[in-house]
Amino acid sequence: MAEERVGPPERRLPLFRRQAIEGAPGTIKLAELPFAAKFVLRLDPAAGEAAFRQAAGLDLPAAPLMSVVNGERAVLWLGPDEFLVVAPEAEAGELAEALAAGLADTHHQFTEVSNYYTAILVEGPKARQALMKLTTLDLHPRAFKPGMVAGSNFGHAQAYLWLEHEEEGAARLRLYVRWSMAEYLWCALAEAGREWGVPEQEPVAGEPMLTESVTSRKA
Amino acid sequence: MAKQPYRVAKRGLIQRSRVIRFTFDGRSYPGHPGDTLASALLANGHHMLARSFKYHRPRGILAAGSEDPVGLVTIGAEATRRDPNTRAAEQELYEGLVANAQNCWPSLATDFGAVNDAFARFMPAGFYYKTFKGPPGTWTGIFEPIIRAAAGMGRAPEPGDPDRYEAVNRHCDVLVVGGGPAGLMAALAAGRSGARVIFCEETARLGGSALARDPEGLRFDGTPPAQWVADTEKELAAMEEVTVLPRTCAFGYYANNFVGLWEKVSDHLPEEKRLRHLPRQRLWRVRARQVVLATGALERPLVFHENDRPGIMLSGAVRTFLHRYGVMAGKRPAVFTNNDSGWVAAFDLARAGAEIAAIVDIRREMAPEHLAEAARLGIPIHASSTLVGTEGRRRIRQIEVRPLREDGTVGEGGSKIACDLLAVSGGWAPNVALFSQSRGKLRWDADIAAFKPGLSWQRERSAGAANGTFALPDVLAEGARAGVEAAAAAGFASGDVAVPEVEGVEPGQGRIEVMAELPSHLPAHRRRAFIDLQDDVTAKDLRLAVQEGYSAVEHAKRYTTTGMGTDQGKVVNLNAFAFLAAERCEEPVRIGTTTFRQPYKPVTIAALAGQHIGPHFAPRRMTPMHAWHRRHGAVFEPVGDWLRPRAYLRADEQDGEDFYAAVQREARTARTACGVLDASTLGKIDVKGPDAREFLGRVYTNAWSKLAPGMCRYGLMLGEDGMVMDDGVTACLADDHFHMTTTTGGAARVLAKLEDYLQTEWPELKVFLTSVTEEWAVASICGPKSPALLAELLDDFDPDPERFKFMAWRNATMSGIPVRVFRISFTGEISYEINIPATYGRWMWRTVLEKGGKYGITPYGTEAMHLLRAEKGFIIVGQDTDGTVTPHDLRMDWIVKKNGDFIGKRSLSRSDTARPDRRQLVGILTEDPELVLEEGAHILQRRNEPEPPVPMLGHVTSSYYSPNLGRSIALALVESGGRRIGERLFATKGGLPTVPVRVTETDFLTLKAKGQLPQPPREALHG
Repeated sequence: MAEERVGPPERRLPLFRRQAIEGAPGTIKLAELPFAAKFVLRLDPAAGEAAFRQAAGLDLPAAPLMSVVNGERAVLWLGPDEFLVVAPEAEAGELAEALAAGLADTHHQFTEVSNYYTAILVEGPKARQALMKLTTLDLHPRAFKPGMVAGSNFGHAQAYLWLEHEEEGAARLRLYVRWSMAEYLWCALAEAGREWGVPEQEPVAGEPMLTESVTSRKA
Repeated sequence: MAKQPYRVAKRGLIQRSRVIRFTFDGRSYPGHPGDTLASALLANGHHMLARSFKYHRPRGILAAGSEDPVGLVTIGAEATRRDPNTRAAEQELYEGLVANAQNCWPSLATDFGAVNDAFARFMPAGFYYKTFKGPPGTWTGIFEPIIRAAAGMGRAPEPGDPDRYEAVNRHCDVLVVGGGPAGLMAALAAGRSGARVIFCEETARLGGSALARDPEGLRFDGTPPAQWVADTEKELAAMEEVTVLPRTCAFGYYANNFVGLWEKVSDHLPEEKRLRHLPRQRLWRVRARQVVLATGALERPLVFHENDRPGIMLSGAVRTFLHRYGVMAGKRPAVFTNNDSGWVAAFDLARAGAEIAAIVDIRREMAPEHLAEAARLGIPIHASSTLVGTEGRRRIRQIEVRPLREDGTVGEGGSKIACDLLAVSGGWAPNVALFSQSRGKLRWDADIAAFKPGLSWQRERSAGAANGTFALPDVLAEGARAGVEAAAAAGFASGDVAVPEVEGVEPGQGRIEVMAELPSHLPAHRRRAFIDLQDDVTAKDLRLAVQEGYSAVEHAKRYTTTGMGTDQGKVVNLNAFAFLAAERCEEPVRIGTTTFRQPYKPVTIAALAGQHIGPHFAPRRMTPMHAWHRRHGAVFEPVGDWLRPRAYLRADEQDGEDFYAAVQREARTARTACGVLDASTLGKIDVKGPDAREFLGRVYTNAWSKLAPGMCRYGLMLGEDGMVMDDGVTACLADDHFHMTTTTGGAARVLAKLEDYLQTEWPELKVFLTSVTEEWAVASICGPKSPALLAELLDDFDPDPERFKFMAWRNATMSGIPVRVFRISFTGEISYEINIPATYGRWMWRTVLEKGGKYGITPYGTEAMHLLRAEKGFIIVGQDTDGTVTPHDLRMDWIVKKNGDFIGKRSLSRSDTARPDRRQLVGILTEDPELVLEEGAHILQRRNEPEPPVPMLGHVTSSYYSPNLGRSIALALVESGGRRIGERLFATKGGLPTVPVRVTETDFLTLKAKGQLPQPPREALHG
């Protein structure tokens, strides 16, 4: 095995080989967001909402499929007792400690998933239309409003979609997708954007495969 | 201007100023933008363009739209873009279009397949099924090859389609299907309410029947029809929430108002003008709150002897070609009808300059105003008459008329009349295909002798001709009402929608007289009255089906193939049902219909596959180390959705290394020096809560109450049936907090099952689960040199196996990055698993390989991993188990606790799971140490297989050549295996003689350590 010189620890996001891409001006833009702290919070809101607010500086979403933002922190509703908490990378330790202390007496689970998910930004007036090529969620502005979150399949990849913001018809959405599915989803999103000029993204492919049983040397 | 002899001046919505050229069957023809291939061919006097399926009889164009059963051609010059079975009446003309006839050889005019026609009487109804009953050998020897060679219509395109296709999803409040007058009004009414409306029309332009009749005198609020349609379209286009989709066919109505639309985005454009950024075709998957079906009506042909010649066309199609495309399909047309529609067609043609050869009407009484108009135009009328024959090969040239007697038989006398077109009309039937697909119940309407929508099953309503409403003012009003009601039902109120005042309303079809098969003077066996013109089913065939007992409509359909062509019998089925009813002397309503199934018309597979093809087909999950694996010679295997390196083939040796050699090297190095496996794909679940221990005790077969923080334990998970479902090691992070691992392929299934149990079976347990599979990248490092490597990799860490004991875990740091290190092993060797946050995975892996260099480290793949664990006798769930294996079958009784419940426990005491002679997992050693058994090989008691059935004792589940033991090893499930340790049995080897084997314990490493492994002679050692 050829020796490689390896330097100090370096962090790589799943899409680190991909550059941000966009279609024609005023249509759609795709980018992988920088690393951020992410946690899955499992908590019965009735039991721990106040403690959570105190510790995290955030309310839990008041209704299903909604989110709460405070500065750079946000909490996204994923289920009746399941939330995604997002914070800047530097605040991860502090947030985890505060939560552990604040919810010490409440049955809960606060699990770091900063590395599990990466966030893909899908932005622009055509963002909703592009996403509707991959998901059966109703993304019409009447049905999917700013602040809303929904988990679903996008193509064949499971992801959480969050409509962070929308102004003058230009939506800014985030897709939280698993590390291993990010490459697939990125290429599928680019394909969905080709109608508006997004450049084609060739998926990683062509690995030599061997699926049959081999119990002896090559003949 | 190029000559188009059948083009009529001033009529039609074509762009006359431009001439475009296209080729059909190698010949070039002129046409105009706005034409379809059918209208352009007819303008050039070309009627015959196809051959029928079975008898290869000449076929022309019967209908002017997607319902046409016969005018099928292949579009496209390139083999990869070829589009077979395209209806000429649907294909829009463009410059350079290439179309070819199909189902004929060597040419359309001279087709050898036409000999079938001469042998028609040897191919009766059910011919196909009857061939099954022939003497032995005739099916495979004679009939199958012939039928296979003859089957199929057109040729499928070659692989390598260069075009893109796409599926899009949409939700809407109201989906309006069909762009005719009713659909236009419905879309307008719904659109004005503010509802989200999707409005699709199958053809290139909106208007439907409004554009298929003489515009002369027809006014909508004083506006000519084309103008009214354009104005309406403009208003719709201006509505933000209305999406108008021309060239889009609603092909499937599924459960819960889910409707599939197929949009042909660029099939109407020349190759060079197709927009690169748009797909060629699009699939719209629409979920609609309400649906309005305005799919119009279809005209039926008449069933009489020789009714299948080119030039015999439905009267409505004749009118459509005249008014929409400016084509007179014939200069001396005859009309044959059982209702008033034929008369209206005749008058249209006469006014456009045709010389009408005759109107033949089977009815005795006809509308006086029509009789008067015919007299005024000088048209010969044959009332109460029928056609008993036609002539003309590539085009009809003569009809034979005979009088009909009161009793329904044919009278004497009559005449032969020359013509170049025969317009037929059997009356109009609502197009209920989508309504029926939606599971709506049909209702028989005796007035129109057809089925129309009855009881709705889903949230839809039909309007206009699709609902059996034919008069234009009523159609418009019904369309508007449907739009208003649909919008209201979806929660959008709209005011009254003004329905345009119509001037020049046409008379309808009037009284219709149905005769299932028109009588003839010919004996029955000589009559060839076609019911299905695509699949060549005649009235005689259906009659035979009834005689042979296949008289139920679904039976008759399959026995004769009526309505089973690519057209699904759109225009012919009703005649078939009427014929069956007549043969059975029952009312048509008692016969019913065959099931209307999706799709309404053939949809390309490419459109259905959409964008999910090639490299976009499915996610291929990759670990953070994937690129490294690729650069270092990995050959991969799919594990679930993951791609895992199976082995790393070294390229630096002479000729490189083959897979087998790589696996042997990796397995040897991992056990004698140091090896590292990318184990990131293993499922990982964070389990937390005060009841976590109790929970683990219920989902695993063993006890978890005493596992201390800092320690790990292996567990088996069973299904409710007591069979092994998954396994893995779980670490205790804190008293109420655990880190569970699962198999790679089982991760999602296990999490779903555990969450299911928590939510539905044990809601009282305070436990939360969160998947952390991809939070961690995992390097599993094993081998005698691994402690030294670990000491070097981790900061201030003592990996000494004496102090950091097997099945313990610790937090540590690697160059300052927090990691978890687990002293667990799947190889039986000293082993450490380093879990690092996944974003550092690539860095960690490279560091391990770099620092491991001096210890002779090798990365090893899943194959070596399988080999190493087999040396130790560890199982792989899914390889050594197959869903029928209990822990006792694995002889792992030690892992099944005696006290306390767990999932699957009760099943373990079922008589079958508890019986002593079940197959059990044992080691198998061949007497010839060099012989590697096949996985799946059977284990037998005796050397010589007796006559079948051969009593099987079991089968081999895992088999390898072990470089560390210097011989082959295998695991097998063998009947009463545990009691057979030491026994000599036999294993099958393909078709070769069986080989002797010895039954052993499964842990081969321990056998070796105890000296119980027979050592092969030295020279036999591999490598």
